[in-house]
Amino acid sequence: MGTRYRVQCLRPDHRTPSLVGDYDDVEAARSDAQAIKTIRPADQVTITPGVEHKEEIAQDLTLLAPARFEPTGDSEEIG
Amino acid sequence: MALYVVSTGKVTLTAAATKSLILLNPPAQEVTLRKITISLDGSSAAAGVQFDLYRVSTLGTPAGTTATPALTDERDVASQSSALTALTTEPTAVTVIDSVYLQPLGGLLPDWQPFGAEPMIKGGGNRLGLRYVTPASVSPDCLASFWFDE
Repeated sequence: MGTRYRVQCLRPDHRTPSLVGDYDDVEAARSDAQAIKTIRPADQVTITPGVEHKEEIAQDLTLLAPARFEPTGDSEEIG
Repeated sequence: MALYVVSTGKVTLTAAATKSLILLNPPAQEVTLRKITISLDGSSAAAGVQFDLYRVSTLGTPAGTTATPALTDERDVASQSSALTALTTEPTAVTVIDSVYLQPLGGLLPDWQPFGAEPMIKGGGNRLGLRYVTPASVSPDCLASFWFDE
């Protein structure tokens, strides 16, 4: 699985960021991140490269973990 | 039948955009959508955000964040459905079932579907989705979820 790019947005009055989306294309990620930053200039908007691990849906009751996104590089902040 | 929930988590909506928040892909058997919840957390009042509940007519290659349905009763077995949330590539074509407007500043829809009017999905490749349509310069945070029987 290739690198995906997670765009997140953190409002100054919030403690946790919200997801904008996970993108296969870094330019699409930058475009949406920039659009958010333009409208919400006080927010911290970041792009983080990473890999999404899709958990197999268990049939035996033991596993119900959500898919995980693991960062593989530093976040880029849109300014 | 067991009841499951797919939630988006906190998502920031993109302005002047039409994007899906949830795309549910049931297994072979039918699935009944019991409840849809949507809440918005904008920082100021603005033009309303439109939400469309739809069936996919032409799938294409939608992409987003993979989500695993959560159990509402821990005695049940895991859901066989899969779902995407916060889509970044939309399905090719959809048929809208119903639409509503919600105000970005505190908009809340705690239960879209009344009893007796719940949409059903046949399964076997059929999909049901929820998307938003935002006006220009409107970019609130949002939480949405599908509650469904499988």
